Amino acid sequence: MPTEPTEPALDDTVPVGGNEVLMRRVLKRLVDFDRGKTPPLQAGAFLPNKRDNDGLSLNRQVTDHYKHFLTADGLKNWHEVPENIRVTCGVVAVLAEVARDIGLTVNPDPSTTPGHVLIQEINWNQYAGDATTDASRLKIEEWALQLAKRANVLIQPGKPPDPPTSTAA
Amino acid sequence: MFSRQWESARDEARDLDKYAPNWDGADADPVALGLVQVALKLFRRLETDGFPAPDLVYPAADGSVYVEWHHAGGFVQMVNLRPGRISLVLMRPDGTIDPQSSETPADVSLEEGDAACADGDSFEFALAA
Repeated sequence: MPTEPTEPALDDTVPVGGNEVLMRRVLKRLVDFDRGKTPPLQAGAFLPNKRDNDGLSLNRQVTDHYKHFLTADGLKNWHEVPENIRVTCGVVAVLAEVARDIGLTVNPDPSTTPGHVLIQEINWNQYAGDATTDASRLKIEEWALQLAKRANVLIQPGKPPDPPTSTAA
Repeated sequence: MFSRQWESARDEARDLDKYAPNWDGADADPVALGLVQVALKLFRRLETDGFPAPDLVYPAADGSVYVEWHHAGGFVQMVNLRPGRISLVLMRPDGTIDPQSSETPADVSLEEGDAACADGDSFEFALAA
């Protein structure tokens, strides 16, 4: 009987495990990274933007995927990210099981970036697009707040990330 | 007691007018015209009522504005201001959620008498809870 993987997935054919860390790049202006609040993050970290048509875009924190995530703009590592981006962006992280616990789906979508995943329920169309209603928008705000409550800052703006915990391929 | 924090919140709100289109690199709208003034009116009313200043004021990609209060013990209030609309999501320490949405109360709207609504009192009650 198939079970969820307990080790980090190494390719996008492996379903996202509940214990996998999911990352999202967030502008500093959407998250007050410096304040010790409860929840530590604000909902803005998990609200969709206009490019999140198919769902909230995140990446899996596993060896190769992690590197691809940080190099999505063709840059080799965080140190090579231009200063103006490093100081304006940080990375937040949440466990996949947190999303599933509140009724969200987490599915691989490697079509654009290896390790890319989508939470399809948190999408722009129902938040502020053609399909939005008061109810759909409020629901997305609820989910964003619930994710923020159990998320953490992985990379502070302006600081390099810690090296991945698993060995690089 | 809270005037310094309120002044900081007002400064954060005023800064929102500086956000140009595409400020998030993902085609975000600038903050909707007049919304900063709505936020400032809301702040003035809440400050007058003795409410603590918000912890966070930030824009959303659709040009709306979010205001969050993070209280001791994990109680969170999140207000979203849009032209003519205001919504509130309450999160209790146990993680349960209570969402509300209504037209913007008249005394917070830009134009006197605009968008007077029956839900204004309940909204104010919820925010002060």
